[in-house]
Amino acid sequence: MSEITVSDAARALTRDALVWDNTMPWGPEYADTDGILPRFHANGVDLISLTVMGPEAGLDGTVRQIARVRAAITARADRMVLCGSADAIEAARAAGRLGLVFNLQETNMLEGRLDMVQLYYDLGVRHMLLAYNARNAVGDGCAERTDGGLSRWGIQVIEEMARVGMWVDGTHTGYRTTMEAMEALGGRPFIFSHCNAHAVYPHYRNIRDDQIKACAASGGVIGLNGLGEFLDDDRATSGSIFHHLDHMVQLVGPRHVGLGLDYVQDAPRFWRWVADNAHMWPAAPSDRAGSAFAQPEQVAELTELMLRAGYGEAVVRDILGGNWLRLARQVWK
Amino acid sequence: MGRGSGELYERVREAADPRAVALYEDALVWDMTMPFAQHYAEYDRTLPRFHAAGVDVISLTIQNMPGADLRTATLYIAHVRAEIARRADRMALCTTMPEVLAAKAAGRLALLLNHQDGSPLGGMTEMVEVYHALGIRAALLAYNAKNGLADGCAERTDEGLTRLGERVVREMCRVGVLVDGTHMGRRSTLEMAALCAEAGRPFVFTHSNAHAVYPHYRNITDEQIRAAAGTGGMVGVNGLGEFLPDVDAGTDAIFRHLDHIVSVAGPRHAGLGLDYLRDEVHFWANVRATASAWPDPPGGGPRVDTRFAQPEQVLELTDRMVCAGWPDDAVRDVLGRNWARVCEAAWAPRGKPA
Repeated sequence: MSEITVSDAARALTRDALVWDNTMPWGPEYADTDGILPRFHANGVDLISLTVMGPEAGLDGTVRQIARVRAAITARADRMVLCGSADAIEAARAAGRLGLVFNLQETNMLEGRLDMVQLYYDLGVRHMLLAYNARNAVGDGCAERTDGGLSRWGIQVIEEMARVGMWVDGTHTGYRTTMEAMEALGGRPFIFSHCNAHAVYPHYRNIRDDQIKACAASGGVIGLNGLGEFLDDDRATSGSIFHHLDHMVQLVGPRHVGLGLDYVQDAPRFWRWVADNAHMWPAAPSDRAGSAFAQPEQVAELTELMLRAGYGEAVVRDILGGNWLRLARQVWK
Repeated sequence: MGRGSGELYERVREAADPRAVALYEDALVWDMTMPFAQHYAEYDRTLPRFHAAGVDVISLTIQNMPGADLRTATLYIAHVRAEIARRADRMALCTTMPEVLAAKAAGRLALLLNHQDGSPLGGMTEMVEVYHALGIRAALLAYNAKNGLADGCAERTDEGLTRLGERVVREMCRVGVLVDGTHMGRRSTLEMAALCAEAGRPFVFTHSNAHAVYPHYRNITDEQIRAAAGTGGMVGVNGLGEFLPDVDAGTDAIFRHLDHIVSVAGPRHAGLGLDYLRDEVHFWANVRATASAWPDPPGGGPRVDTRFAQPEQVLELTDRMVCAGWPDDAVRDVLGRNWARVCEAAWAPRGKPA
């Protein structure tokens, strides 16, 4: 970072646009409300989707973390607010408050009960990914030995998510499972909340061009990820992120690309967790263990790079957050 | 009284004083407790039967028996909410007074959700707000036995609230969950009343009878009745035969308790909390299986399996009130207006956590 000189125009546009970061790990180990959120807000980020649980806990741990995070937000109601709708997000921004929504990075916390989709939605969860790297009852993860498709249960889960109005997220999920999920949705939107392009760097966590195309065809959005390992860049520079961003924009146009930075403050803790869960994290094409995460200051750098590449102002606004907002208005109930 | 539907109600209606019928059918009728654990939950006969018998609002206890943990309680809330949502033409889950009144106006049964134990909190005060977000609008902290929050009314000891119990009561007051002392130890309830008074919230017993009428450990003393009334709260009269005591759970026996509560606290501090459940055999088997929480009633065992008051008896109870010369306003207050007033005061939103 910080090798790019950000113009006043890029800075002003980042400040003026609705900026939406669609993924921030926020389990008990990562949540640092006062250490992280004000910094993102100060860098122009208006809405953050907090991952209140990933593969590390079931229903009990998930609901407990949701309780803690809701209480932490309520205690800071002058600065931040949990949002349930596109209107609430715009109102939060107008009031100068950081908007927050929740997401889940797994489906195990449903514990086999479809009714839990609505319950999580009612507590603030607006997207849920199907399988985190490894296989579960819904389908395969992207790092699994096999690449089977959706289970019967998985088809029910997707249908219930669509009924409830929760975004169906294919991040971390196996290729075939995502393709079948999009087929099951039959044209209703599908997202990848925080994924980069396999064509740019063939990591198993990155998604292929036909996944990107199918997602765009559904009206969905893909959030660019800022984790150095998936960028093949230890320093997670804005230039590396832009390569992935530009690849997707060239492939499917600017209406289907957004941000899902995946920022983790305590990077060493994350890398220890990866090392301890080798079944979920097999070897990558190049060893980037310990690499950096993109920082919130880089959002303005990305704006700068988009402007330099000739992206129009309206397009930049869409990518910074307008696309996610449009999709929220379309899908959330 | 046997099982049935509108026919049963018609029979009671014919026998009642016409003034009572006219008053009853025009009044807001509110039952603050119906056990609705998995085994008792019945959406297409029990709830419509109450509705046909003139009950407009029912608070469902949606936790699978005392001691249910966070996970089990959450799974069950998800299930009950979905079952109610599937019957949106007939019933509505309500979380505010305007929603309750709108449901009644639209001819739908208004349903509230409550917990009868602090166990679903899993030891976390933050869970109070989560359950509130999911629709829980009343809760007690300890069901008959001791737990990490308080003592139950059937315990060997009568200690007060724990430190965590105090925090939970304060959080309920902040968030807007009605604080209920039913099933709890005397000292814990008096401490809860004091905390509620401090917070400017009403404290209630949703389904408790009068110890002065019958000294069962599940019934509450005049001191407890006054403590609730002193916060602007109230007591819901219970229709379970053992607490009356009356093996048939007759209306006269229920009226004796209601009349006593009204004589102690006035007609603005009494209401209904019938505690009806559809499978009495299962209930009594469960009581025997959890003997530590259900010691013998006064006079010792063996315990007699009593009946539970039936929904059609609410009209009979109205008839008793009218025939006893209660003013119309007092009857309407007891049938539902008191719960409406008290719940509105208990649910009004407040600010941030302390």
